[in-house]
Amino acid sequence: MRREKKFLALLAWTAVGLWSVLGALPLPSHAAPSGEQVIRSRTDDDLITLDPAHVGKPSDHMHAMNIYSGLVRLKAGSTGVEPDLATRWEVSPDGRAYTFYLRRGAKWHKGYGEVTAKDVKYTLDRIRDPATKSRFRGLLQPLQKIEVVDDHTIRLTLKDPYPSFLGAVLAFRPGWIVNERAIKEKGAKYGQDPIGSGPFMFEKWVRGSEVVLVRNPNTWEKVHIQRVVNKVIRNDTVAKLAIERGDLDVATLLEGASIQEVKKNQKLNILATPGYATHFLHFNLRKKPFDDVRVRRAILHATDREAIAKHVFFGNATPRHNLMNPHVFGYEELYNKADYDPAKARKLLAEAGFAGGLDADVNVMPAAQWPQVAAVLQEQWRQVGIRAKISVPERAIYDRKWRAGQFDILFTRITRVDPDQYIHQYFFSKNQPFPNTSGYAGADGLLLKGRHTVDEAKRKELIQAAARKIFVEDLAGFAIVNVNYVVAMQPYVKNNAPTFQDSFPWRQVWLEK
Amino acid sequence: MRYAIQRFWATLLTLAAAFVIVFFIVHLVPGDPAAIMLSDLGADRKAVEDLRRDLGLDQPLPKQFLRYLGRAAAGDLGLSYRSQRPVVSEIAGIYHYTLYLAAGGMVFAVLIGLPAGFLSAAYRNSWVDRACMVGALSGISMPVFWLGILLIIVLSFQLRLFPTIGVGDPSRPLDVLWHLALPALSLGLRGAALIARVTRSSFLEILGQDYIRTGRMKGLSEAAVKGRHAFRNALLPIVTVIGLDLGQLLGGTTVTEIVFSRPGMGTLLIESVLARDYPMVQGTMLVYLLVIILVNLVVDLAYGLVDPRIRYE
Repeated sequence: MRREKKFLALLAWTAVGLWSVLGALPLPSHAAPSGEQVIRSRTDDDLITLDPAHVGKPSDHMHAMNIYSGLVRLKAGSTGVEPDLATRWEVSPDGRAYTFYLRRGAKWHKGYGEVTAKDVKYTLDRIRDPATKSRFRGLLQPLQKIEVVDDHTIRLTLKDPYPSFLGAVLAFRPGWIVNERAIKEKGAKYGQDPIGSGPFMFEKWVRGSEVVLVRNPNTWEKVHIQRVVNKVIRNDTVAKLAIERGDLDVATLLEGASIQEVKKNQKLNILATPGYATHFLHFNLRKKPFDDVRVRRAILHATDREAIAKHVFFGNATPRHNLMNPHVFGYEELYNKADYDPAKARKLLAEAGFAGGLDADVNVMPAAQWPQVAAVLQEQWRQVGIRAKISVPERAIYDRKWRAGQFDILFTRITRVDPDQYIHQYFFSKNQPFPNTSGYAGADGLLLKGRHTVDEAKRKELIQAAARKIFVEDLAGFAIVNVNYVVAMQPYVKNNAPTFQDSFPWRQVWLEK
Repeated sequence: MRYAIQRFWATLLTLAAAFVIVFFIVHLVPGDPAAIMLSDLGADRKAVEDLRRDLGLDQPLPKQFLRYLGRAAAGDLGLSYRSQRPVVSEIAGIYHYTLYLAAGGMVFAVLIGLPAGFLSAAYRNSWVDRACMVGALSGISMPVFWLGILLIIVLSFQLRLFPTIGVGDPSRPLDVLWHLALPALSLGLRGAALIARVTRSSFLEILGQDYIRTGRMKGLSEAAVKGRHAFRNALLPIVTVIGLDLGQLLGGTTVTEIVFSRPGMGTLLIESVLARDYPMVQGTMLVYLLVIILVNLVVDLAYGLVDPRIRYE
């Protein structure tokens, strides 16, 4: 018995010893608050690549957009373009040729010399080269010719007038200018050691922990932030705890539950703006009876979007009808609360010959809370006799069914910067069978004219007319909600405005500690 | 020696089979990498086909396989679709994080599991035994991701003893260990539970053997009986369990890495599968398989050392 006690005691002491060794390790060092302009932000994934030809995730986009500059860039909090490397540009009378005048004295990071028109040509040629294997090669299809006029002038000629080219392509990743020498020198390492000409330079990447940017000493803008430390936190709950504990200054939150909790925290500022992502559905007009506008309208009248915004998204979403959102050029509010009217829905169904109800095969995107939304819609539609057969397949199967048009109704989601991308892609008949799997062709004239009109006012009119035709008159589809983009910030973070792809333009932010 | 050589050839064969299966199984999974890469661009069919051609996915599968085989023989596992960086260098940059995690998990599993199992057996039906076995049951039942979050909330946020995220400063070994502690603990607890249960039953079985009674009759001390005679003999099933558990442990690293935002093979594998980044998936799976096969080889060879009665001649 005594020996057994000795045995136990030995074990206990071992445990105590182990514990004291662990406990003696240093405690985490907290950066003391000071006037230093160092901002700590969250990224939900580790760095993959910062090579603009290959950037594919918002988590990479948010670093890269602060490192690179393009000829033009998106205005913060909007999708309009403003000058960046090009201080001004001219459009030829036929709307096809753009002449850009580059900023003089714009420098590459880390001593790579001056940014010239040759760099712009190299950048676009590189994306167009199949050997680069860039996913953006298709986006440059409208581009016919690139001419270097002189060191500070470049002319891009398009196959057809296409004003969207600025916002959708040049202000996006394929338009971020790269340096040929840096790409060649660094080879495969370039994506993790990039050279740009934007307001921030890449400093370091600590794998799995953080991506650090420092202010570019040669930036032509007035930038306050000296360092940006992006901490990799994949889990939303952990991110919420980290900002509450003061380990972060800014954190984007993605999940309803953590958003609900963080909203209760009085010490934090919560920024909730409509995001760029819209949940929408479209009908397959090649399938009966969804070719009948009365049936489509009945489904609209059976849909209570307020309830979905309130209950599925805990109020972090705005009911929408238009596929576009208020950030997008040419947006028009088409949402009408009175559209929810089950009695009207039943009446329309009876008129169309479906007094006894009908079946609908629904292909649901397996992401972004669509499954929950689908469950609510199924119940709402059941009230008027529409029996929705909901399938939430694995992503690849969903894609395959979508491409093949194997559905009556498709539940999907879209995030874009440009009106042309929002409505042209899904509802222009030449894009059949993909991505226009709706079989809709009713707005072709308006869409085509809008795409090639350079005059802004006229273009806006045409875009709005096309949207009204598609989403109101013909009701080929309609949006459900526009999910809010929620950012928790310490109160001393000033002038932050999230832009497209959940990214922060650090150039305009400062801290008041 | 002949046994070792036999095992070696069998291992090589298994590896070759695994190589073929990994290549084809990845292509059997539905989904088109090009379409996924373009999915948020709303690209049309032509753009998807162009990208497929750029990535070499338009070639017939057997041709793709031969090309892959030829390159792999030279140590080149291709370029990741997503980053366009060599798969080998992507893996070389992170495999050690998973290795540390798995090793740390194993250390916790053994350090907690073995003593708990011995204690339960030595004090059978006492409160010690019951406490250990209830602990073991909960250890087996708790999912790693839940346990991980729980540990973060209590030990990191409430008590502020450990960091929540990251892998630490590689130039300071203590910092690395300190970042490793929580993930390794949450990963190791399940294994600890398993080891505790097997240790207990194996030990109890041995304690009922005749030679134990003989030892006690000889007047050997209880510590000598349990510590020397019973321990050695109870070890064999425990080694087996530890070997088998390593597969589970490696699988568990994926979830643990995600919860603790650690870089590593698990995170890489999951991200690559979601993106259908074929070369990356193949590369990571091959490394995982290589490790598991090698560990099995070592366990097989270790039997002979642990228990000299076992000889495969």
